[in-house]
Amino acid sequence: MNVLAQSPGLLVAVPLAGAAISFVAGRRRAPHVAITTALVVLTLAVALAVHVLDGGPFRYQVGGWGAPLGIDLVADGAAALFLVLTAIVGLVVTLYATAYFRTDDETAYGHGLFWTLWLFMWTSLNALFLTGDVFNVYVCLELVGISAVTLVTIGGGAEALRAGARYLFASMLGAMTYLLGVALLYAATGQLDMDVLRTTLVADTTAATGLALMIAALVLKTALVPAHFWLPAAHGSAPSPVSAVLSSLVVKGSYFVILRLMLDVMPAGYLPGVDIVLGVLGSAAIVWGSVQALLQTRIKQLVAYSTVAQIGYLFLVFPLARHGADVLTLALTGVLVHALSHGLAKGSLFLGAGSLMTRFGHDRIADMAGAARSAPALTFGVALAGVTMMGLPPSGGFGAKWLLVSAALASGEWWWAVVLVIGGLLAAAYMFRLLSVLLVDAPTELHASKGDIRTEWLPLALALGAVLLVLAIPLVSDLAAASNVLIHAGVTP
Amino acid sequence: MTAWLPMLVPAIAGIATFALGKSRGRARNVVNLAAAAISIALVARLVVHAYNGTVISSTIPMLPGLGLGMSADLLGLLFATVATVLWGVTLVYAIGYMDHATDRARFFGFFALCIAAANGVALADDPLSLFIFYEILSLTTYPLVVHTGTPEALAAGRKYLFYALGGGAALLVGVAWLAVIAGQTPFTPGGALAAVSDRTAELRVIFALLVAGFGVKAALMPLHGWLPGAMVAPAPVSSLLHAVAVVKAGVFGIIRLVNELYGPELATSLGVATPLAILAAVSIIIASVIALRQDDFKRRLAYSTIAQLSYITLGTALCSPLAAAGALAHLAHHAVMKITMFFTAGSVYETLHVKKVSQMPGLARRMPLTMASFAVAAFALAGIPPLVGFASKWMLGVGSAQSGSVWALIVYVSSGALALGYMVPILTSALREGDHTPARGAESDPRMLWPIVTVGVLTVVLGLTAGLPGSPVHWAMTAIAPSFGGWTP
Amino acid sequence: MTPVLPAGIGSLTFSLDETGTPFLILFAFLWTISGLYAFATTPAGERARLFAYFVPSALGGVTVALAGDAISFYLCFALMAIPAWGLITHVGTPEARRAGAIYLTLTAIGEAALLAALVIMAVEADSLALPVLAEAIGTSPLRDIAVALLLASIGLKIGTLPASGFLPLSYTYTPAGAASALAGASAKVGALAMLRLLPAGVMPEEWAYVVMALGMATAFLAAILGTLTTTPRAVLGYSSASQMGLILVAAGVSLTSVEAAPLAYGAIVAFSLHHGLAKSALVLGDDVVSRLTGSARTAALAALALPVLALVGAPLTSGFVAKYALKDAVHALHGTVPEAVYALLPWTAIGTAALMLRFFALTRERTAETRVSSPRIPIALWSLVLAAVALVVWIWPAQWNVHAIESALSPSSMWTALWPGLIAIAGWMALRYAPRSAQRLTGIVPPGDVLLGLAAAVTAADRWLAGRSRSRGVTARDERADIGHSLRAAERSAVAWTAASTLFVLLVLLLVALGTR
Repeated sequence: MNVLAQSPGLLVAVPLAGAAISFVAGRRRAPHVAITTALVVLTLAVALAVHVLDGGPFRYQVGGWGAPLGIDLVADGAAALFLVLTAIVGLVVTLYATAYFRTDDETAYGHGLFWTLWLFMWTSLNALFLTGDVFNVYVCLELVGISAVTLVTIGGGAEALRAGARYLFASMLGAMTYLLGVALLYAATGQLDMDVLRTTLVADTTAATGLALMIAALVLKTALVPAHFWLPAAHGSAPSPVSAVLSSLVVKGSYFVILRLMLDVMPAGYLPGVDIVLGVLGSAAIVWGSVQALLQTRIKQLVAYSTVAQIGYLFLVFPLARHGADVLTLALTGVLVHALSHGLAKGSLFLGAGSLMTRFGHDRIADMAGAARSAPALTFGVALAGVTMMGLPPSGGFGAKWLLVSAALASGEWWWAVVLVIGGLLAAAYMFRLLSVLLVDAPTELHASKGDIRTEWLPLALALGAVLLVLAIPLVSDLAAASNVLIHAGVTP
Repeated sequence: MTAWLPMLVPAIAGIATFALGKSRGRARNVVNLAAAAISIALVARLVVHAYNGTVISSTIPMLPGLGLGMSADLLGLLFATVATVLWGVTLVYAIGYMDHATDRARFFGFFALCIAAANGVALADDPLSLFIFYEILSLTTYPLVVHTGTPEALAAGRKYLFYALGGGAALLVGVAWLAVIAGQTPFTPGGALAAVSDRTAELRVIFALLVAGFGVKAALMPLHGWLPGAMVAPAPVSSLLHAVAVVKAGVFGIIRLVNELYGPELATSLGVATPLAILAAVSIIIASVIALRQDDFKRRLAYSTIAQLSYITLGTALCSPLAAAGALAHLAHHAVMKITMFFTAGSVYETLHVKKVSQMPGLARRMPLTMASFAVAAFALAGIPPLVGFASKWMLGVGSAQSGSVWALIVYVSSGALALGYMVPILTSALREGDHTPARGAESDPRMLWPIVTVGVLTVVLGLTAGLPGSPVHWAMTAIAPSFGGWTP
Repeated sequence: MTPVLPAGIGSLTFSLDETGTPFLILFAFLWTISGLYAFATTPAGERARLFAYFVPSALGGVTVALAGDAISFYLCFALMAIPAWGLITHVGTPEARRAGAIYLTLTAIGEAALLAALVIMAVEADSLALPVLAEAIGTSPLRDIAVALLLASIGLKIGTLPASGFLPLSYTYTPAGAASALAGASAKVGALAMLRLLPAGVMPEEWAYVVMALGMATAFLAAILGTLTTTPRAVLGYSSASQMGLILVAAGVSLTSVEAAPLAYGAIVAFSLHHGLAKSALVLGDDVVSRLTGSARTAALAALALPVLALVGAPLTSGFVAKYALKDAVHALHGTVPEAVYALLPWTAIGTAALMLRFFALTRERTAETRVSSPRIPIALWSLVLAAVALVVWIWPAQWNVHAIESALSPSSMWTALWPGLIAIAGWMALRYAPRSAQRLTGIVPPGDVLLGLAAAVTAADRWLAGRSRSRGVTARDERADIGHSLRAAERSAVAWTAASTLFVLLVLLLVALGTR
């Protein structure tokens, strides 16, 4: 059998194996296990993307049983993009973590446990992106949620514990609501497989209620305003590598499920008005999150609120999807590019924030003057990530904004374009609030960077990736065309 | 590929400057000066090609259905030439000016990147490409504006960004909208929108959006607020960026927009040209009047810049061939005049810490060559013949009268009068006896002095040769003629 | 390339023609004498600064008579007028600076109007040559606006109402030598512009009437203002304005009538020569008197009578001939307005005579100042000008001259020239017996009259604007702080447990309600 065709299974199996091995490998060897795993997963993700590009989406049957009995994995273009994103950010975060957690104190940060939890979360995320079954989505969400909550609290401290409790509450509330939705859906249709549901779903109050509950639960997990209450605390107080993963990857997991449910599984107009509500909430998130980011005085809080805002963009695809194939293609490509660029840039920002906090010994933005002089690569990385956040050319963020603005204008609903533009400007406002301090030339005594270039250069590498993404837009566009959404909408033959 | 080089060479120089770091000053100077020389040679070669009728262009795909394109036509090359040549001059000046400054690597690095972006704006082949370089220009200028890191500089930088990004947002929407209705629209003399010219309502809104975008850098009132504050930047930045590259990118955008995107005919028939002209005319007058009130030397120059930029906008918006050509020529002419003035402002500050007009008595004796160059530029700016400013003002005036817009002519001549009003007091202040008198003849660092004299002489030479082939005037007429099909200068 | 474009310095044409010759001679003579005078009377340390302005001004002031195309004319016009600012502000007192600021403002406006007119004319003529310009504009649809612009520019140059304060301002504070050049030559460029640029005989009569009326009004009103002003130099300034008002009358004549135009041109040339020399002689004479004591002073005062009499137009003086030429020109027109002007013309001489009496009185009262340099060279230079005043019209070979001189020698015309002077003297005498309150009126007009008020108003408006923008900045900052505070509070309550849970439940209900609608 072609190894490329096996990649979905391996993408789940390899990190799971890595998690297990790192658990038994011990504190010293665990990082090596993690790095190896990350490299393999990246290779597999790229292989899967190549395979999808070549032959289109495909189903993979775990253990060879077909639906409805076995577990089916579905690999399409959109999933491939998220998997590759996860792999890239995952690799960089893993490398960063080897420097960040390197300390002689054996108990700090639960050491070995971090690697295991992280690889386990990666496993769950990959599974979430690949699963083709609404119940398995629940399972994956639970696994991601539990490992994420644990990772948030791994650093200890009262603040992290409070944030973890809040996160756990949100996670459980979301999972329960979702499960209730699945139950209703199953009661009404007797189906759990998304492909089957797509072809069999008919107008039915119970099924509709179920799906609405599932969407609401996923909205909570994605932290869309007004359900964002848990995110700033959790992302802001977790250790920086964890924040990076949570902000750039974990919220995308639940978003990806909404995307599939709304645009692929449900026929057009199935939950009438929900698409508009999601668009409106997305717009509210853009404005509210940005304004709050502007008001923050601590660096990770700023970055976390920026996530609240950036998530909003992802939801603009839903109201735009009603306007025909051309607009749908533009909008879907736009949100996929946005998910990628935000993932890379937000990873860079959280890692960069972590490095800055380590070097300064505190997290107060106002007292971070002089960073440009003492840590130029780091500052430059933050600045580049900022550029893509603002959606300025040439960057991935610009590509996303361009595509979404074009979609809005082509749909005739120009007000979404206004929201996008305002969001970009507000992003500029909060990013430059940070950057203008970093750029000030002040005599500063920074803590040594522990003689490690990783914490200086890895944020820059991720940011560069976010910027150079603009050149890869044709590729993203091809993968978007190979997504089930566009294939089932008849855009791609 | 050749069309990309004027943009790529300074960009590479910029990155190399960062890579060299703060300690290797000599290598940094060599790299930058060499890059300037190479860029000038490259642009010169492209100019020769363009004059012979071969426009070199190249496009790479980027967004779905849209590419990033560069095209070395005469219109763009005029701007690229101005930016590149004056970059070379300014580099020498800046090396002298920044002799004792900190963070020179950062300064020169971003400086080169700015020129790269300006050349990108100049040679961009379509609205999207132009927009991309335009935004890069905004970003790479920011570190230069806040270079000194003082609270004042940071506030000015904030303001600059607020305006620049706001304008960029309007531009993004405009360009995207255009792409939605018309697809890829490479700039074409006389207009590129013939196919969609019946969508008048949308085209009007798009025009307004694009003008709002370009208007920020072109300091078209009421979008000018950032410019006077941005004068806190070091003098070479004010000189090159706020007289040559950045602000000219704005007016150049308007020139492309009117002449080669919409085309004079469509712009007139849509009724969008006249409001733009009126806005520019109002800017000219108000900015000139405000300039009269400034005691701060650089601020006075800044408001003068605002007025002069609107000269170009007004000339373009009149949609008359000679006025359009005059506007394009003025883009070059004003660059030469204003850079002389900003160099002077920098020199007197760096040498004697003079910032205000009222502190200038004695300067004419202390720095005779510097102030003489300034005087020449000042009179040129007021449009006194036979200096360079007169040639373009005359063309603009004649073009206004030819298009029947006598009011525009009146605006031009009034602004010339106002220019006298704000320039002459500077000269007389400097000629008065005063604090700086005793140490007579002690000029500034030669690396600052000679660039000033060079551009000062250029204001005379370009004025005297304005009628000859190859002069900016002639060049501008050749570049503009195709937009007014059938017009022969 | 069309001829309307400047081809650089090479395309500028300079040539000497019939119109230009008298002006060239006048300008060259006056600028040279004034320059020498200024050199002799300026302390060595200040010379460089004065001549930095004087030399370019003189260069423009002389070559303007040779300018053969629009651009060279504009160039010379500007070259003369702009540096003159430095001459006016040379002494550096606040009054001089203010005078300079007003001068520069009006000059700049005049330049602008001239340039606009030239551009329009060049476009209409498709040429730059001066003779072609004036001819082409006559038939152009833009004729009216071009002529209006020209008149505005000329009017500012020669101090026509309401800018009657322009000339007094430019003479009062200027060092004597430079002031002599400004008084004698500078305003005459306006006269040259009339000849060079104004189209002859193409304008409707109303235009001519308005211009003539304005000229007459200036002639009278400037005389009144002048008698009420404070310094000899200011009196001379108002006298110039008054006299230039008469030249404007001639220009008005030329605008509407082809037949009368040659006569009017003759009058303009005659007036320019006569007034230029006489006024220069008066300015220098005033300065010479202030340098002398004793009998030399008395002799100088006596010599001053020559230009004084010339200006009043006493028989056998240059002024007499010039005024006669003007009368001839006005007489050639028919209609109520020209006839009224014709009747009023002799009465202007009363004003001039009053001005001269006032000037004479003020100069006599001047206290002698101690000067380092010997007055010999100034006296010599002044004598040259006096000689020119005495001789110029008698030796000038021109058509208008011959005719005017012939008529001038008749007894009736002599009487016409004499009576206004006699009335003025009688009035002056009578004033001695006038009540004190009336005498106190002399000296109530500062040099510059309404222009000073305007300048003060502009300064006040500027201060007010500056104050307002400052106070606005403060409130904006406070408001921003308040908004930030309330937004933070809103987010704190939104993420609180109860609020967050409620919001989520509401969201669920909303989605379900929508989904099952």
